[in-house]
Amino acid sequence: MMLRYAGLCLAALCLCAADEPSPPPPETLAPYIAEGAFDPGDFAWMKGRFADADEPTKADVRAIDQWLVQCIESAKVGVRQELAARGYRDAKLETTLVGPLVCRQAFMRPNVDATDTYAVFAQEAAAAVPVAEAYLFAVRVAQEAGGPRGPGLAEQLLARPLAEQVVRTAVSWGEGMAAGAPELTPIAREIVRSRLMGEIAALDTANALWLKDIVAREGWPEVSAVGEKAADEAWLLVQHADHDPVFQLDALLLMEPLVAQREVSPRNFAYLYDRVMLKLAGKQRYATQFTCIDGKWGPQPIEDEAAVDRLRREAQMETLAENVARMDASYGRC
Amino acid sequence: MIRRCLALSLCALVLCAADAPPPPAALEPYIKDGRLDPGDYGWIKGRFQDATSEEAAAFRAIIDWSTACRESALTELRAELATKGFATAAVENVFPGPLLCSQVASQPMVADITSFAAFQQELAAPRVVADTYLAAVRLAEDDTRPGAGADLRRQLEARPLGEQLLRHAFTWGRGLEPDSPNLTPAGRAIFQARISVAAVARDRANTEWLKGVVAEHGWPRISQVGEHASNQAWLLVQHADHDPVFQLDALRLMEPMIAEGEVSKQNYAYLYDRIMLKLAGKQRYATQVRCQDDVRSPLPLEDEATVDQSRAAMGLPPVKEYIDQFNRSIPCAGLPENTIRSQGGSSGNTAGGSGTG
Repeated sequence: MMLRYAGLCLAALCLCAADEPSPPPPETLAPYIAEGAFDPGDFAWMKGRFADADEPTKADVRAIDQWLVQCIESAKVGVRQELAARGYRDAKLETTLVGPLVCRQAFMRPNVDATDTYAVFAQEAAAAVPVAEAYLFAVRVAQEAGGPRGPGLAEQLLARPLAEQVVRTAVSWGEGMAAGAPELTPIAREIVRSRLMGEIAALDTANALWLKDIVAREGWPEVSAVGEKAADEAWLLVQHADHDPVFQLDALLLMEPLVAQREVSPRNFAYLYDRVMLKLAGKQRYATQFTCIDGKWGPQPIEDEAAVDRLRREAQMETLAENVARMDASYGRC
Repeated sequence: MIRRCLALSLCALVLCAADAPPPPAALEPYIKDGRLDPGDYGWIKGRFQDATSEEAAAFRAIIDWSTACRESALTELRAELATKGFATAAVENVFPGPLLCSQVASQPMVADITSFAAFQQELAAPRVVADTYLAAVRLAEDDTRPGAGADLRRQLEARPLGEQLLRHAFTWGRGLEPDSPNLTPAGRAIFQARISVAAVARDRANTEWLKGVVAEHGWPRISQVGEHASNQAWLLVQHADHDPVFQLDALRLMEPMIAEGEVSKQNYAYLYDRIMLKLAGKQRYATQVRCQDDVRSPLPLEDEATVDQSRAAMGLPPVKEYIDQFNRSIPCAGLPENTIRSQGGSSGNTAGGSGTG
């Protein structure tokens, strides 16, 4: 009981620390929110995005968009404050999606053509939702069946990323590693992808909280303590904690001195460095982070292009050109 | 090179021995890499009232082929079991023989649907759901597959994930997996048939793999691979119901290891019962139970008076306790009649997920 109270007080403090607490979601979204997560359900909350919607319904959608922007931007204020307290002022956080899980999930709505009618979209959604649900159901069963082999930290780290990995793979539905997924219409595929992205957000959030707690108690998991594979998995969870740049930075700072001691893989450090620095300064050092440029994978802005392959070699990584080729092969066109 | 040749000639011998005639032409378009892809189920069209007489004949040819294929495999199986001392083995429910003929037996149970046209309408939704589930299973396996050079422990630990996921899917919509997406009753039957086709292939591949492991290393010992991997090896044998000879061989390899603590006693008891029900019609440890008129009871026992004693020796609780616990976790109500299941062993997985009935 005491613990519960302490938790509540802490939560209250956190809310106060951020200048603008996140605004409550509009009422049209209320039926789709339960236990701090957003379930897009039948997608009826998207009705106002289509040409055939009436004015009040379109206004509902504008209210949702406004709320989303407020929710994410007000969270950024808090994140910037915390980063500044660590010496990183004016963090860019340009494409970073922070804030409560509900906002981040609602933000990942399917991209649809507004000239379509809602009736067409609803029909596609009715076919696509069971597909997404079947996939996510399988992932839950897999996570259960592939659970930790024992109580140790190494075993828990090894088992933890299965669900997010299997969901991430499916985002390229029908292509790359997910080439075997059943064929869907373009709209249905977009709806499935959106649902998967929402699930990834939920899994990443839970994984980051879990790892944060472990790191707070036991420090960064070192290779000599948990083995190489489990140390890789810990890194993977941080790499995917994009919603929590403060935790990513803290982990990066903990990992840095461990590289020379061979307790952290230089490659993992390089990947996380890039991920964090793109958020904080808008540039990466090792060209590990890619983006889609005209349908092809290419690196995001680089600190020093001339030095990139040398730095990559020092971090025991393949050349940039080799990396691009591998991306094309595993993920397909973007 | 010599080993390779030897392996090839052994395969050739096995093929000759099974003497399976090639599948009928109507099935050919649905065979991919030696496996059945149920596809649009055009190959079962002859089952329905709106089929032409040619289609009905083509379907009969498939069934006749599958039956003949299975019968010849059963004859062979009976002969092999007789040489191992089980001359009167009750193998009626066993599906030995080539993968394809046993996959053909996994057809959707949709007696209410009389026309193929109506069946096609029902097919669309469960087909994409099943194919999605199967894609997820493959991707989960890809993600957990140990790298080249992984030791036996890692390989054993990772191997059963696919078959476990497929077995979970059998209970889709029966209330055991409360958040499984909704399907109509016909949709569920179609879904389950497609999962079953995949599970048959998975179990056979696992059996062949484990046979290779056992041939090379002997039965995996706990001191060698750890408890979890040892449990997983047992799980794969427990699910090798199409190959009672291998199950029996494994049982005999495990038996002397009980005293040494190199296999789990519970696992041995579960496998003993699974095999002996097939070979002798009776079990010793009451691990295999069934539901009849919503009452769960053990299948026939070797000796009712001593069953709790036998169970205690294998570290198992009394029968009544086992059945009460089973009823609490999976009530009989809602399960199909005569479903034969067992729960547990020491793997921690839902090992009894597949009915043998």
